[in-house]
Amino acid sequence: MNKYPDTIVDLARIREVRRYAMIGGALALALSLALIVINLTHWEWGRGLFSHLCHQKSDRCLIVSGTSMAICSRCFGIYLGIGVGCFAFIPQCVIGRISGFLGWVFLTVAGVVNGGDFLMEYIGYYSNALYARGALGLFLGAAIAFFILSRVKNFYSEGK
Amino acid sequence: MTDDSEIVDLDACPAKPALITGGIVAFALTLFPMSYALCCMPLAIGGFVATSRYIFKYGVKLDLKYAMKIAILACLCGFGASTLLYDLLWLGIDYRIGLDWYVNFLADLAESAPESQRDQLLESIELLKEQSLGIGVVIQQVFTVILTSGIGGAMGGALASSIFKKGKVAQ
Repeated sequence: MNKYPDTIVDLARIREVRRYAMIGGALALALSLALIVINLTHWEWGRGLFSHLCHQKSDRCLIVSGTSMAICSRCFGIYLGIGVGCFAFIPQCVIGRISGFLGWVFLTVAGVVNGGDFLMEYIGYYSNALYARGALGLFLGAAIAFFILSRVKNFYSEGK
Repeated sequence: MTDDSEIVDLDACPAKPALITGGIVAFALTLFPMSYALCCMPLAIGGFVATSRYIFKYGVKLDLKYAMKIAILACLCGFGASTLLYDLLWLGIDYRIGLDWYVNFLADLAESAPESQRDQLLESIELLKEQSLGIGVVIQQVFTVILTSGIGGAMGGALASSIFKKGKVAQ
């Protein structure tokens, strides 16, 4: 196979990755924004919508406008992280550098760190590190976005 | 680039078996309110199972949007069915699946919660107990099923299509 068709395919694929990244990022950020608006307006019905998406334990949720958010800090971090990760994947310098393997590494590290945090809390090593949990969720969300988009980029490269 | 012979026609691969499998998983995991402990993971698992089943049944690698579509549909079916069963039991014999467990869970939480949040929790327990099945609740459930299935299913389907990438391209 000559180089020319491969280049065309690569360019088309990169364009597709960018499109996914923009749509995914916009949706994730819209969701994060909607959660903040629900708090700002104290909209109980809207809060109920998320009751099946998260445990909503008030001591584990970030406080916005005097009340706890409709989802916990880790979940909020994950959705925000997906948005941030998607938008961070758009520039050419990032698309070119994040390989499928690196995507795996990010996802594994983020999964292990979040699992470790859950375990530490479970065994009582520390309790309710609200902002740390949110930051770890953010990392996990960004890692999920990087992983998925890096795999989309290499769609035609078997197993990479 | 792949040859034409390596491309599988999506129309020749019906999604029904994958939807049934993923739907059953989503149904089983959402029937009891485990989401209070596992967040959106039950639906992400349902979506993951549906997409994985499709990939392995036909030996294909799926484009992201089609993978997400299968996963979301499976979650809609499963979660929709479990919500319907929940409502039928509530309406028919006044039994709400997992309510006692959830009320106890919230009560325990209220005991250990800071003073400022205790009232909010106790109030939500009372509201939950007194809630009756009406049009407002049903509308909220419909939106919840769509929203939650969309988020959980999309994540599960996207992860499944990203992890299992071997096989022919399905288009």
